[in-house]
Amino acid sequence: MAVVEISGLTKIYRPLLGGVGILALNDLTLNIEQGETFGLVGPNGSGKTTTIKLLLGLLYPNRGSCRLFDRKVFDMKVKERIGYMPEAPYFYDHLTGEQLLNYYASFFRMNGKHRRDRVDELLSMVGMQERRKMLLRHYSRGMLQRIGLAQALVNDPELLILDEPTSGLDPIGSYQIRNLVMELKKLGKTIILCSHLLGEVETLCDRIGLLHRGNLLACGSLSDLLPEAKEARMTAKVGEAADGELKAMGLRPERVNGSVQVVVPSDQVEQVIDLVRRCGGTLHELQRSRQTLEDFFVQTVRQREVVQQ
Amino acid sequence: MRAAKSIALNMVGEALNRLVFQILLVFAICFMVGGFFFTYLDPGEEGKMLKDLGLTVITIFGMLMAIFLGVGTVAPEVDRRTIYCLIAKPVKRHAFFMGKFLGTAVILGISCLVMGLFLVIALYVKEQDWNWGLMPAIGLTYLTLLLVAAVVMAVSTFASQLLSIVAGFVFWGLGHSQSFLGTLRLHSEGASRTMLDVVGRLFPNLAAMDLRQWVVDQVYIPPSYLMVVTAMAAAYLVVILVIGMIAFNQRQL
Repeated sequence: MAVVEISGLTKIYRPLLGGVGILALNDLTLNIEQGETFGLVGPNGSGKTTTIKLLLGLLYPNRGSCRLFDRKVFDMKVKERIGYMPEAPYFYDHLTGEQLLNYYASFFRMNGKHRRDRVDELLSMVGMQERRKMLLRHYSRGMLQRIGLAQALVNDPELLILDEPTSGLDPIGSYQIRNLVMELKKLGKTIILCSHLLGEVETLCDRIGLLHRGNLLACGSLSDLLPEAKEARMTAKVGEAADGELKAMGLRPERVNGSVQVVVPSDQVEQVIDLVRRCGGTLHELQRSRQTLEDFFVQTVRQREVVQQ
Repeated sequence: MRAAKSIALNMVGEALNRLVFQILLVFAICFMVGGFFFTYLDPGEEGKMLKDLGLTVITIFGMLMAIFLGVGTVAPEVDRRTIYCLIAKPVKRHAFFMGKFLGTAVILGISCLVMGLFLVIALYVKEQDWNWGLMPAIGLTYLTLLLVAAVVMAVSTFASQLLSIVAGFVFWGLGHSQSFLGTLRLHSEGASRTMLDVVGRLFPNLAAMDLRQWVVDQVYIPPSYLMVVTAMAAAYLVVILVIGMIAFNQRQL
């Protein structure tokens, strides 16, 4: 079942006093299934935030439609089932972390005990139990990010929209947030992850949509988008006698600390392994390197820019 | 209603924490208490002067609070993007707007009440008499402040903060100049007469809600007059709030 259905969605930002508008999103059509983690990637100004704003009902589209749980995005029943964490969240700094979560929980049908328990649970989940009574104006960026994630989860949403959840965090903070997202994924939540950190998207997402200047350039699973590697990198401890045979096969072996390193085309991998065994060597590492999401991203965006020029 | 209540309560908490609000309230009280120490007039005149000064201070400081509270409701939530998290929750846009207005109304109510009580106590010390007759005047001043705050809020849903502040002052000024504009209209012709006509019909007569002179001169205020003026203010308030909600509903956030 599709949780998110976007059809021909178009958004043009028009200046207040007329003139040429800016096409922020062009005819976007996309479905996101239940339980899926979908990564929305693209350079700055590609339309990621506009898409999220349209999904949240913060913006009105010029054309097309978007539906969540088969309902209009403005429907309050939809809002009860979604959670949103903004990029670089800013909250009311006169409140404490606990008060903020209570405030957001007050918009949902939760009685006093249920609300208190949920707030406790969320503060523990994001590791903010000890700072619960601290005013938000004294929170660090990382703490605000964690509270931002907690407020998005206050209603135990089925669909979670995360906009740059680890931006500005230190490596440990990023790791913790990524783990939390992993846990939520295991719980079967549908997640839309908008991030500049392509490694993070690659680790967490089942499918990816690549936006560029409002157009969806590519959409699919990592295995669909990133072709299998045509070569592998091998490291083996083997006598120098093997070097000649490797060269004879058209390869370029390199000696590093007594080991040989060589890049081997996929169709020659078996042959090279046999050669190492025959020469009495030991295979240390064989890595089939698939194209990374970053390579794919850069390549696709560049191709698009060349076509547009 | 639940959402509007939560938003209103949060706004009250935020405003009470705001230094500008605290400074305004303290200044207003200081002015009134300062007036208490003027003793160079005839004993009978001192009370009158204190009433006049007190009500003027409530009006002026109240208006400043109404304008700055009004402009600090919608625009900062959009600028700081705190509104994104709210609208992503089951909060309708009109509930957000109403919540903000209710919060403003509570804060202005507390301010008028505190300043009013200080004035009554100061007058009691001076005249040994509880001047509760001031309350209708303070009540109508409060309604005027609500109208100003609502105008500023409504304008801030589609215009800049500066323009919203200007709109508040213009509303205040034109509302208090209705009788002058009426006289001017009688001596005008053509387009200027039409324009003055439109202004006359568009803006409420805020001078009718200013009972300072009545209270100072101890003129009897008929309850029917209070009811008519209150009904007029309520009708204007409803119209302004509906316009504000419609404008905010259309806004791209």
